[in-house]
Formats: sequence, structure tokens, C-alpha cells
Amino acid sequence: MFQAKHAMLPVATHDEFAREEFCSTLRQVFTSELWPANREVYDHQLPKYVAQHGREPASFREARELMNETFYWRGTQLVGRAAQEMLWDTVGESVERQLDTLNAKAAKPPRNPLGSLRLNPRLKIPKYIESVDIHVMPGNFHTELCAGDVFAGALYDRGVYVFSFGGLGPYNAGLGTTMSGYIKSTFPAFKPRRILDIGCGPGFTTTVFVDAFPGAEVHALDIGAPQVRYGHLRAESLGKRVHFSQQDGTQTDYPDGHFDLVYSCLVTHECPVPVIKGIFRECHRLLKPGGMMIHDGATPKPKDPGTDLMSSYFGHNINEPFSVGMTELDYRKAFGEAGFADDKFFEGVCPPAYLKEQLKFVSYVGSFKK
Amino acid sequence: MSSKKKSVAPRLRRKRVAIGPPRPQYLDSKDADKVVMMLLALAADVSALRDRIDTHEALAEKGAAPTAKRVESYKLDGRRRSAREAQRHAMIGRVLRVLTEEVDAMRDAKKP
Repeated sequence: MFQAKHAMLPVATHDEFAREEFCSTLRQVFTSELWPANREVYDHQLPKYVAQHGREPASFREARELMNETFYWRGTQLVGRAAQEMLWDTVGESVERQLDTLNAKAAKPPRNPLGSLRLNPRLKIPKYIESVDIHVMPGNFHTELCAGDVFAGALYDRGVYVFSFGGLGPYNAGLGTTMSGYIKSTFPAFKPRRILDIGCGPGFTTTVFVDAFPGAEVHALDIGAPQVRYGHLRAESLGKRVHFSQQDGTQTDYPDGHFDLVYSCLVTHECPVPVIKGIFRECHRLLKPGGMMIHDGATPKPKDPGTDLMSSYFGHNINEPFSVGMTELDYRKAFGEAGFADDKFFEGVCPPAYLKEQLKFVSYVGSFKK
Repeated sequence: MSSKKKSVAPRLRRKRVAIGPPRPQYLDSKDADKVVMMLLALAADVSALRDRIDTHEALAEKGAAPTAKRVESYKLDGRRRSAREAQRHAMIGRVLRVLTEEVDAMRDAKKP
């Protein structure tokens, strides 16, 4: 399966494509084979640890000490980190080579657009975004290399496809497909007429909602101008009507009660807890009575130190410093603080429509505004 | 066969280690991480080269000379892409053998 073409998708040369394919395969080997085997190594090392200490590791730190004894643990993490850095560098080189062409396309929006684009050059980029490049993606989601730039949008659209070895589907739609499918199957009577995607990136979590809820007015925001510039033209090219704007999800310019559905896909784990709570408060303000807010749920922190260690890869190796805070967040309490009634809280799991071999399930949390 | 094999004077094997003080140690242990990253980047380029050779072969199979222009505009099909994927997978397995041998040995030991 190849990534589906659209007007803004970077076009790789023969050798750029070949190097991207190498990064994908290395990521796949790491994810499907190398990393999971660490559990076997852990279980193999346990008796030695017990013999030395008279008990099993009692904390994350002790579990890590046990594993640090092995070359396998240290080596596999290094390979995972290397694959992560390589994928952005490889895709980045390809995008940078054709950036003038991509930016020129972005400078000429379609004459009769289906959707719209609003930018805010005065928007202050929060410190938590400027201080760490999430996923070790250099420049993060917001950096602009020049006026009218789409670099970070193109990098993320192509990079996520390489990262997931195509596992999100030809349009990277897997996250949105799974979430919209969950909403429709769990709440079949819920028919949103105006929808907002918070932290939309290049819009691959957004365009799928246009198809999932035909007739709904779909909006999407991101703090990064290159994301929404790119996302707007990507959506137009795919014939999807989306209204993009550059905004901070904790403080938007939409009126109170403007939306029936506000959602985010894989965004909250990239935010510090005060920002996550700010997003929940803003969702409450933006929703009409009866409107729904839904986000990815965190996997609860495992009690067994070994299992905890095995689920620590992203947080400890590829710049997701806030994901630990999210796993410890009391959603029910946080929703209550944001104004949602306790009896409207919901959470659930469903089978993933993406990366099926790696993910057992995906979890969601949400609430309805009374 | 009437001609006798020419006799060759016995000689010593070429020396591969110079006499002298021991080789200086240049890298710290933390440098090893960077070296592995450089090695994997090199592997990506080797893999790309292999894919390029495969494109040459695909063009040759069609009777076309593999010019740079034809290589660049070559449309890879799913079957050939899967074959390349399998080659890459095997290559990564060979490159990382020293890493995975610990797990391989562990699994072998468990086998009846």
C-alpha cells in the first residue's frame, strides 16, 4: 500500500523513497520484533535479580536497573531512537528539497475553495511547545522556515506514514476512522451538525469526519501555521470541506456553544496537565447543551514495574515528556473541574482500525454537556 | 597435462597490525551510541542502493536501458515493493545480529 497522493503530498525521488522505505522497515522491525522481546529478556533476568536481592523489582527504577544489565535492552532502545531520528531527517531532506514548490502551491489557494483558512500571525506560541520537539521531530509542529511555509505540515503528513509503516492507511486516516466509528457505534442517535478537531496537524484526523458525518460543518485548529496551511490545501485537494484556523486549543475565538462535537486525536498526551485541563474547559465553553467532547484515554499506569517499564518507550526515548502526567490524570475529576456533570462521563475501548498488530485496543474518554 | 605447475616461493602472510604502542582509545562509551546511529544511516543508503539496482533490473527485464531518467520515473508495483521489503527485513536482521543474538540464544535454550 502506497500513501495516497494529493496536491500537497511531497513527491520523493527514487532514492529518497528508498531511504524512507528503509526507515519504515526499521521502525516495523523495532516495533513488532525488537521491543516486544524485551519482555522475554525481563522474565529471563528476573531469577538472577531475585537471587541477588531476595525479591522482584519493586519500582520502575529497579526494573530498569535489572534491564540495564542487558545489552539487548540498551541496544533496542538505541535502535528505536535512531529509527525515529532517521525518519524525520530522511523525510525532512526530501521535503526541504521541494519546499519552494510546495510553498508556491500554498501561496495559490483554489479559486472556489470548499473550506477556508484563517491564520493568526500574532498568536503566541506557548513555552511548552517551543521547549520540546515532540516525537524528536525537529522544529515541532509550529516552526516556520519562511513566510507562507508548509514544511512542518508536509513533514508530519509524510513522516507519520513512514513512522507507522503505512499502518494508519493510505490517507493516514486510521485515528479518525477509529474515533468516529466509536462515536457512531456507541452513540448511534448522536448527529453532530458542527464539529471541531483540536490539534488537527495536517488534517488527516479531520477529513475523515467529513465523511463520517455527512452534512456536518467541520472545523479544525492547530497552533502551527504550517499545519493548517498544508491541511487546508490537502483537504481541498481531496474534495473535503473543512474550515481550518491557527489557534490555541485552550483559548479559541469561536463563540460559546458553537459546536455539537469537539474532539482531539493523539493530542492530549503531548500536552502538560494544566494545558489538558485548559482544553477540557474550552471544550465545555464551546459545546452546545447535549454536545459531546471526546479525547483519547490514557492507558492506566501498570502496577507491575516490569509492565510499566515495557510501556515506557515513547515517554523516555522520543520526547514525549508529558505522557506520564496524562497516564496519572483523573479524567472524571478533571472533567468535573471543567464544568462537565459527573453522570455524563463516559469511557470505553474499541479495537483499533490501525496498527492492529501493535495495539490491543484504543481507549476514549468523553462527556456530554448538560 | 605435460606442463608442470610453477613453483612459488613460500612467503609470509601480510602483516595487518603495526608494531608500536597500543592503538589510542578515541571513543567514550557514550560515543558508541552515535556510531551506531551513523551505521544505521549508512545502512539506509546501502538499502537505497540495493533498491536502485533492483530498479535497473526491472528496467532491463523490460528491455529498457536504465538511464537516470527512466530510474526516476519508474513506477514501483506492489509485488516488487513487497520483495524489496523482504530483502530489507533480512538485511536489518543481519546488521542487528549481534543485538538479537542474546534473545536468539535465550529462545534456543528454551526449545526442547
